[in-house]
This record gives sequence, C-alpha cells and structure tokens, in this order.
Amino acid sequence: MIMLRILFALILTISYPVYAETHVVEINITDHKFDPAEVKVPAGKRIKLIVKNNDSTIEEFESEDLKREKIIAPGRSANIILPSLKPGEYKFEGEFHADTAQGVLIVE
Amino acid sequence: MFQITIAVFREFLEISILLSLFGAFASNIKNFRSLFFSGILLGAIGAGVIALFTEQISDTLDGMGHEIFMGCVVLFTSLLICSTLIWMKGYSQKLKTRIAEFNEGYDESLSSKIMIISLIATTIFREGSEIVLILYSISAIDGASSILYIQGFFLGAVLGISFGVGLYYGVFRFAAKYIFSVCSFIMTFIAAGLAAEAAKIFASVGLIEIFTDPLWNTSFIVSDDSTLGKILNVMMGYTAKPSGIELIFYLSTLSIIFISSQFFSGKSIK
Repeated sequence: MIMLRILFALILTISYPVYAETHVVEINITDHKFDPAEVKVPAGKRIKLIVKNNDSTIEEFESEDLKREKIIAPGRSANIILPSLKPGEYKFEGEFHADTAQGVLIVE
Repeated sequence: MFQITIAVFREFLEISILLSLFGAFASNIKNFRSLFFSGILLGAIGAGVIALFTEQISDTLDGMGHEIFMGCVVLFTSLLICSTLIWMKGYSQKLKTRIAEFNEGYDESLSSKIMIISLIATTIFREGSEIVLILYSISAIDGASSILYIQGFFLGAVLGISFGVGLYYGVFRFAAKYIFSVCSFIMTFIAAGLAAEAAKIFASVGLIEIFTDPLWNTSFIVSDDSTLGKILNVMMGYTAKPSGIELIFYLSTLSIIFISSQFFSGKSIK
C-alpha cells in the first residue's frame, strides 16, 4: 500500500530529532508536592522528565501547556519526553492532588 | 478517588460512544451482536497483553515507547475507518449498479464482518490499554484505600457505559433508513479526529516538530476538560488548541474520504 510507504518515509524523516541531545531532569512527588516545583531547562533541547511518585496514592502528571498526561502508580517513575520548547513557562500539576501538586517548567 | 471516577468515565465514554456508533452502522449485518462481542473480546485480550508488557514498551525508544505505540494505533484506527467508509461506499455503489450480475470472487459479507470486528477491536484495544494502565496503578496500592479506588473505577465505568447504551437505544435506533448515511457522516469526522490525535501524540514526544504551535484557543467556548469537550472530541475530533500539524492531518483525512467517495459515486463500476 502506497500510503504505508509514505507513512514510513514520513516517520523516518521526522524522527531525526529523536536522536538529538536530551536534557534530563528528575522530579519527585512527595506528600503530593513536586520537588522541585520550579524546573529550569534550556530551550532548543529535547527534555526528559523522570517523574517519581514517592507517595502511596496514584498521581496523574498533567500539563495542558505541554499537552501531556500520564498516570503514575505509587512507587513508580514515568519518563516524559518533551520536544524542544520555546522559552516560557509551562505549568504542570498532579491532577489527583491539584491543590498542592503544582509545578512549572521554565524554559530559557 | 473522585478523580479516578472522572478519568475512568472519560475513557468508557469514548468507548461507548464509538461502539454505539459502530453498532448502529453495522446493525444491518446479520449476527452483528456476535461480531460486536467478538470485537470487544479481541480488543480486551489485546489490551490485557499490552498491560503485561507495559513497562517494556514504555522503556523502549527512550521512554517514548508507549506514546509512539499509541500514536500508531490511533493512526491505524483512522486509516481503518477510512478504508471501511470508502469500501462501504464502493460496495453500496456496486450493489446499486450491478445487482443482477453480482458475481464477485470473494465473500463480501466476510469483508464487512472483518471490518466491523476490527473497528470495535481497535477501539477497545486503544482505550482499553489506557484503562488497564489505570487498573494497574490501582492494583499497586495497598490497603483500604484501594477499595475506594475500585469503587471509583466502577462508578466511572457504569456512567460511561450507560451513556453509550442510552445513545444507542435512544438516538441511533431512530430513522433506521438513514442510520447508515448518518453514521458514515459522523465516522468521517471521527477518522479525521483520530488522525489529528495521532499527530498530537507524535508532536508531544517531539517526533513531529513542524507546525506544532497552537493556532487558536477556544477553551472559553468548550474546554477540553469538560464532558461536552470530550464528547465533541470523540465524535468530531474537537480540540480547544489545535496545532497546525493536527489541522493538516484532520483536513487531509477529510479530503481523502471525500475525494474517494466522489470517485465511487461518479463512475459506474465495470
């Protein structure tokens, strides 16, 4: 099917950014709070957030600004890969404990 | 606990809307109930298998494995719906023009059965793997609070499924004569919405880096978080902040389906 070939070629071409350099940040969720709550990362690099849930309850890492959401079981980590971002502030939250679990990704 | 209910409700809502739509679309096929349940079973098994390998999948491709996999599943479902619509259009045309000489080499009804099963199975599989992830997270909790989570889960599931059942018996069963064309019409937009969602998933992990900025923001009219937003998202791919690449995928899918349909209705099949 020609559509399949086009799709494959498209994925190959645009997946080049996958192999670019990645900036890694670890974020812990403890007592329904993010630590660090303010995360500074450089612009123009792919970002990998390793979010570890140290609580005994489920949390959902969610960010409208980053268009990502991921459920993280107690004791587990989730890898959240983000494309290179423009400078600015990107809010994220723990949806299940939104009153305390708030954070911001500062890209500069 | 309440958030689990909402999260689960949204997943089951999507499943039940799509399934009631596919059910209405296929209601003319004989034994569609058994096809329906075969599809659900197949999808559920698939979702269960994914659950077993969920950690391995996530870790591949540098942590993007799950997203890339889901993006491909979503895109595949969109293509599946496209082919189903285009094929069905061609089929009904053939039927109209050549009823007397109808003489194909393969079993037509088998193809349509396979399509319906695939549509249902991929939907269950796609949403089911999200639901399984939620269940998996719940199972990791010790103690009494897990009961609350399980209750929340069932509440969300029942609400979501009821909506679809209500939709099927309350809405889609009317106007049986037009149900096929109405469903085809809606499914065209569903296919477009899925294609756009695939683009969004790929962009969110950086697999696509062009045209990824949001074009507009209609959250003030309908927000993505609201139930209405979710329903519109399922039925026509509504999103409050679409990016350029999502729009491109959306319009391309609509064009493909529309042009292919014109192709079939214009010519007589030899």
